[in-house]
Amino acid sequence: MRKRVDRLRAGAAPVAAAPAVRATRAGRPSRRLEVAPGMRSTRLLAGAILVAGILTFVVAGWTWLGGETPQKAQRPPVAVQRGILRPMPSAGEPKLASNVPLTDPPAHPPADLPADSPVDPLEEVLVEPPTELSEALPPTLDTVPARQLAAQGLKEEVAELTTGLLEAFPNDADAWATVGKIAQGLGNSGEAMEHWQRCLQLAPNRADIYSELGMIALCKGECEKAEALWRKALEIQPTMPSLYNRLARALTGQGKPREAIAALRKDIEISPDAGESHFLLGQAYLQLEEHLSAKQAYQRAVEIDPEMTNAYYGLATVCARLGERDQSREHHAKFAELKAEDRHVLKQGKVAFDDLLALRITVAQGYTDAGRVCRRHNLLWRAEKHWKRAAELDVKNIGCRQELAALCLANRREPEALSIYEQLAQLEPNNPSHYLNAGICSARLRQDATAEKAFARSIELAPHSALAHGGLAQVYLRANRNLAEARALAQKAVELEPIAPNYMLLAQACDKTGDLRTALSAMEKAVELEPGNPHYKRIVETIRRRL
Amino acid sequence: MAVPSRVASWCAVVGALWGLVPCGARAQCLIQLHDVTTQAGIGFRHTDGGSGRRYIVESVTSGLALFDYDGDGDVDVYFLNGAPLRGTQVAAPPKNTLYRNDGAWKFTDVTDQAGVGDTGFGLGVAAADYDNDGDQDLYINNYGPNVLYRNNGDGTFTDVSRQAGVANGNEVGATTSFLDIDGDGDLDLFCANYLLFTYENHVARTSRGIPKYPGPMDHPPVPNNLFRNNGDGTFTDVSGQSGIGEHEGWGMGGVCADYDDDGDTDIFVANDVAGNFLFQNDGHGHFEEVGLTAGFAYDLHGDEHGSMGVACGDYDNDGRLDFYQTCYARELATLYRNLGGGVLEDVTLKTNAGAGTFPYVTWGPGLIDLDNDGDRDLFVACGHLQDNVELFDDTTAYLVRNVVLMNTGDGRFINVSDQCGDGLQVQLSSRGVGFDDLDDDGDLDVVILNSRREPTVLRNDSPRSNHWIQIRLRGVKSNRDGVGARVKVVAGDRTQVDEVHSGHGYQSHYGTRLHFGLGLRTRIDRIEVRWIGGGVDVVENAPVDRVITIAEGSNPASLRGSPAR
Repeated sequence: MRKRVDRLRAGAAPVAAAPAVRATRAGRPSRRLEVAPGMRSTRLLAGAILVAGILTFVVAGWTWLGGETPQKAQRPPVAVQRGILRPMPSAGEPKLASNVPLTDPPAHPPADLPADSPVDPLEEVLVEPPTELSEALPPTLDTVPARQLAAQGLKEEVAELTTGLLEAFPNDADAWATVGKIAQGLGNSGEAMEHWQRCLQLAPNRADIYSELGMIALCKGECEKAEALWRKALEIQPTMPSLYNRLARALTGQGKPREAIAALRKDIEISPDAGESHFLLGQAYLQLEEHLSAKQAYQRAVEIDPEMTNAYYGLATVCARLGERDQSREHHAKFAELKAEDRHVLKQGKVAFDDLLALRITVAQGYTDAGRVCRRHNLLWRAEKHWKRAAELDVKNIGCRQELAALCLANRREPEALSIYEQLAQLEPNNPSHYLNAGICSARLRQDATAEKAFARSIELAPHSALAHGGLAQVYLRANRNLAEARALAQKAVELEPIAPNYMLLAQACDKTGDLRTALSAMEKAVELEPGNPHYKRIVETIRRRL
Repeated sequence: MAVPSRVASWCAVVGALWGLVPCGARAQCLIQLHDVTTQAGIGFRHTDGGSGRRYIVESVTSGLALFDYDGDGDVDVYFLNGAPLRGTQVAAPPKNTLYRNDGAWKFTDVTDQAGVGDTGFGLGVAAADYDNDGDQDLYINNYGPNVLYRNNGDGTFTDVSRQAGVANGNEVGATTSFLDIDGDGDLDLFCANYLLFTYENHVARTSRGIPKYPGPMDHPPVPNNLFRNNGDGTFTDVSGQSGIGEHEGWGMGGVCADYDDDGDTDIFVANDVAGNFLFQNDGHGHFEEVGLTAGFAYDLHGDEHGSMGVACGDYDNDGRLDFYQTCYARELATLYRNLGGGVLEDVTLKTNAGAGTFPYVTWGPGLIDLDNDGDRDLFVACGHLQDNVELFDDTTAYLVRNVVLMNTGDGRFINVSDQCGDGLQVQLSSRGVGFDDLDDDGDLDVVILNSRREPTVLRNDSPRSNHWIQIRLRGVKSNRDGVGARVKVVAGDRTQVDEVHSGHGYQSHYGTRLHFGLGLRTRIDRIEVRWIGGGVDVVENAPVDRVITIAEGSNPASLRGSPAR
């Protein structure tokens, strides 16, 4: 599976970043980054695209589950830490749009696919981009009508989008899922449930839909119903992140701490570092008055996340029950300290909350997901329109930009792709994949200085990225400079990922530095790894002749 | 779980937990509450003073008081009302309204005769005999100047706010309570304040583009106030020196009760989206805020709630007062069990005491024995504060029915809202609620103030097979109404406690005479009264099914009783 594609050649798919963190719904997980694997051979393009798509899903899914992108690894909003039945943002405020596609995004179309037909029934969906109303309309009485009007415009726009999507793809489960998600984002859970039920008729094994339906049930206080829905989701996808955690919430809400403990144990099996599940485990043991077990669970939670406010409250409580008064006092003090910080963050968030901006973010996510549906049907032109509209509506939307950039790259529109990857790098300055992809675009555009800088930054952020090392090596080799460094980079790429394309790169570097014997040895290794590759064999023969 | 024998329909209603009972399984339960609003002749209609600008104070008004204003032995009803806010035009200013209980479920509007038609923006109310002259006075905590109505003893009142020194500026009031902070025999006055609101600091919020009321954090918090009774009809503001004024919050409901059983009265304040306050009294009128360490500030998880009201009562009959706090939507109304030693524990999940409340904003709480079976049930007034919430969040609603949770006697509650009569089918947006025996038939009736609408009056028609007693206290050395006195009733295998509180729940007042359900027990072995100041009176072998009065210091205690009508 871990094969790479030569991204310096035309037709390659971009790389998606995969923060290798467990989707902890709350707390502050420790985070490490990995650069996504890729492929170097164009004939493996489709596979590479699929990998990228899946990883996009992983990234987006992580965000959706309440995690944060790595550069935002500060204390999370207080809302994510709320009580057992409150995994949602605080009441009255819309849940910010998630970036998750409701299914694994399908592979991006190969670059040589024709653009989709201009006779698109949704051609006129696009409207003029909005002005920056959010900034111009502070929450005062006199701006209410203007804000209502702007919101109404967005809702009408999104109504057209959803109507058109369902008309165009009436039998596509993703389309119904997307429309349901949009309805949910607008606070219409009844409508969302109807759409998701239709989605389930078309695709009965959509665990994600059962999961979403469970959330609505929980919001209505229907814990038994939520439990049933989440159990159904688990039947379909037993290792779906967060499901056991959610199930535990529903069970605890019904006064079933023993069953909640069993669910949390399974969640912890799947994700040992899920701090919040350890915290909830403590809560369940506390309900059962098994104080020592509760204490251990809370302690594990704060080991994983030393700033988990609520876990200190649990510790203070359980220590008090155990007669450990000094420890209880200490934990209370720590809790109070963190709570004060949380309150500060909460206050800032409340004051700064911009409803119109939140609505635009919700609608932008709807466009992003709608674009993905269109992409699955190879209506790339329409998908691009949707993603562009999403980008207009939400200047921080990552998903639509990733999709757009991938589309541009696949269609040999490197300048546009580069521009978008540069935007993404600004939005997520610690995400190495954006620099890597920018490097690939720049290299293709022969902008070697830009490419060099981008690859170097990617290596800095992800020192174990074979792709970035290989990319930078190729830039140097093509420019015929820094050849010794190029060889060292190629050597590192081989060490990190001993696959045939990397051996070929090393051979090329050795050749350029006059070390034909090592070059031959590297190419022989490449042939050994990919014996069916005639190109490699020809290179081996060429080197032998030169020796 | 064992099936309590006394709960005939338990099997039918157990499925109602979390609202999932199948229709066919529903059956009548022992608590029966019927809507008698129309026949009661109560024409009051609440106004929140709004004009569509959505000032935050509109959303949290108002409370009500159930008290005997004319000393005729039955319970009268006083509704607070809002007042026109900026931008609101009215032909005649709305006013608070007093209804005299004429018996047989007939009430007469006597507001003007009594002189209690305050036109301020009413929020909280408490009734008690602050001047120890034998009649109950009224204090109203307004947005704007507060009002103290001194009862003249002849069915009329005099506004003595200025002379008494308790007008309290221009705060946005909330709950208010009379209590004796220092055991000196007269009642002092606690005023919770909500937040700092001015027309200028109003924040016009929207949700998904729909206008909505701002939240409490859009306004700065404020400290609460405490006034010491000087014993001469005047009060002194002791907020600072008592320690009360050191803490700023967003006060809503509350109760003043002796949670640590040390003989003095402590103060509970429910804060909106902030940790609740528990002011522990040192017995001399100085208070320390101990909400966090006592376990009342936050719920089980360490989360603050959008807290609304607080009710007080011993739900598990272990001799300690427990507390029930209502809150915002997507939070469970929370039951705090008193573990003793000054520690409370959130037992909501263990006891199912939050059943049916999660989707709704909950306001007036009641921890009262609705079926006279000797344990306390829960009544929760519900209704969202956003009158258009369905437009941006359809998982909840503005107009909803209230919730009744029946105590099964084994430490748990079950949601019987669907089974306890047409009184629970009314769907309005309720705020303050009070409980007392309006028809003197030995069970607790319910009066609910509904925002922007007529109130709801519920007659308790639960089967009368169970016995009861109601106890009225007459303080002599301590305050005349016995506020703060702890009463223990021992009947056979059951011991119950309660305390007299003035001003509690959600900005309301009720329960000056204490009510105890006795189940099938036909004799009371012992009644013990511990007065503020430490004196104890004991009555033995008391009859059941009657209202009795116990006067302080009479040994053996004088006992005057009257059977039920």
